[in-house]
Amino acid sequence: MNEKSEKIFNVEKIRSDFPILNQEVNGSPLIYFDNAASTQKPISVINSISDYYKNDHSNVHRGVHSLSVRATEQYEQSRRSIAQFINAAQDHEIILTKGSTESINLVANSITHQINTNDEIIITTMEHHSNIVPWQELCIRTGAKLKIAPINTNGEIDLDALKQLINKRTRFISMVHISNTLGTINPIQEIIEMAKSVGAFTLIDGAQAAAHMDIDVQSLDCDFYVFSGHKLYGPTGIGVLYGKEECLNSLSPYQYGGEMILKVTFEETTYNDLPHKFEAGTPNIAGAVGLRNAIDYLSKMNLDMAVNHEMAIHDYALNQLLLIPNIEIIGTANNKSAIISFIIKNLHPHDVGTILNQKAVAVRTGHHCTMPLMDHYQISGTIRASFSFYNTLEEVDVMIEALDMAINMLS
Amino acid sequence: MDNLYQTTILEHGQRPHNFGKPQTVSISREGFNHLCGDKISVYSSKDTSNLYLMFESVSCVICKASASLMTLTINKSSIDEGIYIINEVMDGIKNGNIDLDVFSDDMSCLNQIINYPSRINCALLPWKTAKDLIEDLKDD
Repeated sequence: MNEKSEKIFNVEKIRSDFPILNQEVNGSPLIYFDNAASTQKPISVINSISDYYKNDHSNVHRGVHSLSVRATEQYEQSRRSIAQFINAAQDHEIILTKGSTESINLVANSITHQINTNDEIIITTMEHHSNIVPWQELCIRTGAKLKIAPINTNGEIDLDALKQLINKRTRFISMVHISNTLGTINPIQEIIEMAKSVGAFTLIDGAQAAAHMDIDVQSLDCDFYVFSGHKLYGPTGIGVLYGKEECLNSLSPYQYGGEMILKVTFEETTYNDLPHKFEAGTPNIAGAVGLRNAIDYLSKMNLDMAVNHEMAIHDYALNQLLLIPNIEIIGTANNKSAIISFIIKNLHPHDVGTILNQKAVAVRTGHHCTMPLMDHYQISGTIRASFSFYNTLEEVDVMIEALDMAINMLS
Repeated sequence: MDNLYQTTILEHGQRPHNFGKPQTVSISREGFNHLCGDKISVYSSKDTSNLYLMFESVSCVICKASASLMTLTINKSSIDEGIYIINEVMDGIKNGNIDLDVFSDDMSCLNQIINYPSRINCALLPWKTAKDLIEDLKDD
């Protein structure tokens, strides 16, 4: 740890960057452990959106006046920042979307003409609904078969079983980088190589990963990588689809209208080049500006130290939780992110979550949009605590006290 | 919280009345809360001319307590009375004003749910499911 990074990573200083954390809920200081659902926003992100609307807003592209030029520059600078953030080879390989869900839908829809009835699509047991349903629909449209790669009891992908599923009919493998429910960090590099061996496309759902690890899409060699701004300390309603140029060029447009065309007559339309081909209509310019500022904020932080801090909180919380009788941790992978899902025998997650909220502890309860994963574990839901670099060990102590209270009250 | 997880809710949630399946089921309906994954099955017994409902659920305390109170409130009613009661109580849960001059004092605990908007669906699920079931009975 060098002096500079030590100075940069100061939890109290970091917390002061997030105004929302400085509040009381139900008479107690807010403890925000719902970061896997959405992270909070630093003041620099909040101000950047406000400043954009105060000073620079107009519609992007084609305008000759100064505001339009400035808005376009802001928007395209965001694209450049995102490309650098994940080490994309070219800026136009970054498509701005509403979020991970739209990014996956875009690919699953726009690849329809390349899929036929003999093809197979592989996903895993631990996928979010957003990485299940678009592929189910693709299979319904095309007659292709959806194959599910199983997981072991720890919540890790069964690589041997996955190898058995991959064959020359495999056309696409789409899987999550970090499970939003289990916290499992999947060995995507190895799986991407498996996919390449049979010429299958790969899409990685990085919604949980982008804020917690370095992403290098060229090193990964995936065809597509998606993530959302709001889980990356940026605004809601903005997200990213990265695609290799040749892969994006092979897809049909997703939506049709302004921006995505080169020429329109009543007889025919010529589509625009990347990235505009996939950005029909006026985009979320302010969202892109906010996301760029979130990336700037993260880039100034020592990510290794931030992740170490998150994992220290995770490990401390896990040790404290394991002291609670009748608790079961759902997801115990060797390679894990700072997410803990758990259940307590005979207590319903929603009841526990409601009581935790009375002590201002915000956790997520339920199926976390992973119903098939809940079915796998034969449970209806979990209590999920997910940590950020702005959380503290003292906050974990409050959560444990609140859990004790919930158990006493409900048992 | 103290108002929500009060004695009545905990008693009915942890030791619900009419929990289980009647020996002879005339009709059943399943309810599902897609927001949280909770499931409830409401059964009507064949053995009585008036309503006699039982239920099974994988659900939270609020849902179980609400279901327990529902069976105590509805059972022995006619089909038309049952539908009337359900409509009254569902409106009461949504607005926090179940009429305690009409219904038992125990039902007052359901008037607190309005203070916990994320839990209203938990309390409504049994009543919605029972309403579907009773409307099916009426159609038979």
